[in-house]
Amino acid sequence: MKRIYIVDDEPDMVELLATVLKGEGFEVETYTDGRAALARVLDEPPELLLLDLMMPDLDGFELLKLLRLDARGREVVVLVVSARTGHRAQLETLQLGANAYIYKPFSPRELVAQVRQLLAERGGSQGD
Amino acid sequence: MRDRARRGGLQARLVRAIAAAVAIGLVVGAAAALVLRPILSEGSFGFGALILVVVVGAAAVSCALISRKVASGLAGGLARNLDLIQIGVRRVRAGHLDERVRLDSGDETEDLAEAFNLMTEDLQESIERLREANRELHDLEQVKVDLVTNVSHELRTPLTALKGFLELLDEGELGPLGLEAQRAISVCRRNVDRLNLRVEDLVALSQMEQSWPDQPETEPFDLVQLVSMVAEIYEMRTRAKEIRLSVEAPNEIPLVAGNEEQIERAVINLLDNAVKFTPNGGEIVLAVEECDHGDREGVLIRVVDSGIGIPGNELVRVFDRFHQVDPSVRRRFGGMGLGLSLVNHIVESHHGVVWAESGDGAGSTFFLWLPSWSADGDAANGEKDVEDESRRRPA
Repeated sequence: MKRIYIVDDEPDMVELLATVLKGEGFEVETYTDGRAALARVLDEPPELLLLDLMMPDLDGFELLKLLRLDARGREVVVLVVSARTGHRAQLETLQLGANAYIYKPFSPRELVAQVRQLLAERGGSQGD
Repeated sequence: MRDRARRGGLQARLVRAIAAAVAIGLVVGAAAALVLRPILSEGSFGFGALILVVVVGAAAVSCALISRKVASGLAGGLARNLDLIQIGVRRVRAGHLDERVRLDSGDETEDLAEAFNLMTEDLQESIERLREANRELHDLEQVKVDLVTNVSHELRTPLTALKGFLELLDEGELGPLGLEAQRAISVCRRNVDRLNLRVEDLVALSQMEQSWPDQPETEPFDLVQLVSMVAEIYEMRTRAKEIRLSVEAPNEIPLVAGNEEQIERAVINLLDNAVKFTPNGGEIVLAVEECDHGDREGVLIRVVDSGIGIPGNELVRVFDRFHQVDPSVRRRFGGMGLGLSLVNHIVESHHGVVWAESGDGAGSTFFLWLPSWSADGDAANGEKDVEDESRRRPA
């Protein structure tokens, strides 16, 4: 079963994303704190990381940077979920090594489709 | 201003020099006459010759002394002082605003130097004030940017939770629902979508009003693709109202340059307007075609609806901010009147045109024209003519 970690400082967001993905058969872990999330990801990397950008303390950009600097974090597929539109945020995250970017508000259906596509590209069966 | 009376200025100095030289000349001439007197009185020249010697002697010596004084003393000193002032000017122009010229000549050049110093001081103060004001403006803009980013995040995040969970509920992912619950959820979803649109309008509007050069980048893109995508997004809504929505577009269309996100917003707002004002069972057509506007090549989008129409005298004002055709419209159809004004704003910043045609009660057509990319004459892109053909992609 594919593991997905969710990082967002808003508990409601985390709950929504967890509900959606658990319903699709993924194994889900949730974090509202960037540092705790990063430590866990490096300790036991998931197949995919759902990352919010605007978080206090360690924000999404920083987390992503630190993640990719570490050899253990390079293979994790990162899907950035953020309310920040405009190409600059998107470009920056892609340059920092994110695999894709989805805007809030999104439809759960869109999100799942994106997740499946990213995992399929990485290779391996869909959804487990 | 230094007391010029002390040394009297250039004119006085010249006069003094001449007077001194003439005096010296007279003395020398008189001395020469005295010496030559025995020789002169022997001859028949007499008194006249004596005077002549004095005068000629005086004149010769004076001239010699004056020219020497004027050349080396006055003119040289003058040239030197003027040079010093010029150096000062050059340094100030190069940006050394604290440069000052100190002259001790006691004449007009010293006055000039002082005037120059005062002027430079004033200049320095003005520039410092301007710099300060500029810094404040910069800070203020940054505050605005941060505010917009923050507000959009604060509005979009709750909407995401609402939209997401409502969709899950609606699709039965969270358990079966009774009929009434289903209806309630549909109402909620529609309203969340409405709210979403208004929030997006506000965010877009506030972003556009930023004058700070944090403008989104432009790129060439395919309008047909964009319009088709927007139509797909609206499929659900039009089906709910039993409105027939169709897209008419050619196979090939020139690309347009601009901010795709903004243009998408503009098209969405036009379509939203059409859907809002078209009653159930109506029809909306989204047509895209190549079209010239004046002497410019471009692409035209037509949004044709069979709705309630717009009275002739309102056609121009529909694009004004907060304008709504009449107060009862707001009650019946909602909206803030921002959508169309945003369309106007976006299209204008893309050097395009937007306008409407309508007959009261007989439907409306909104036109959105954008210049095509090759016609735009992108200055950085030197080979625009060569690439013209390769730019035309099939839809």
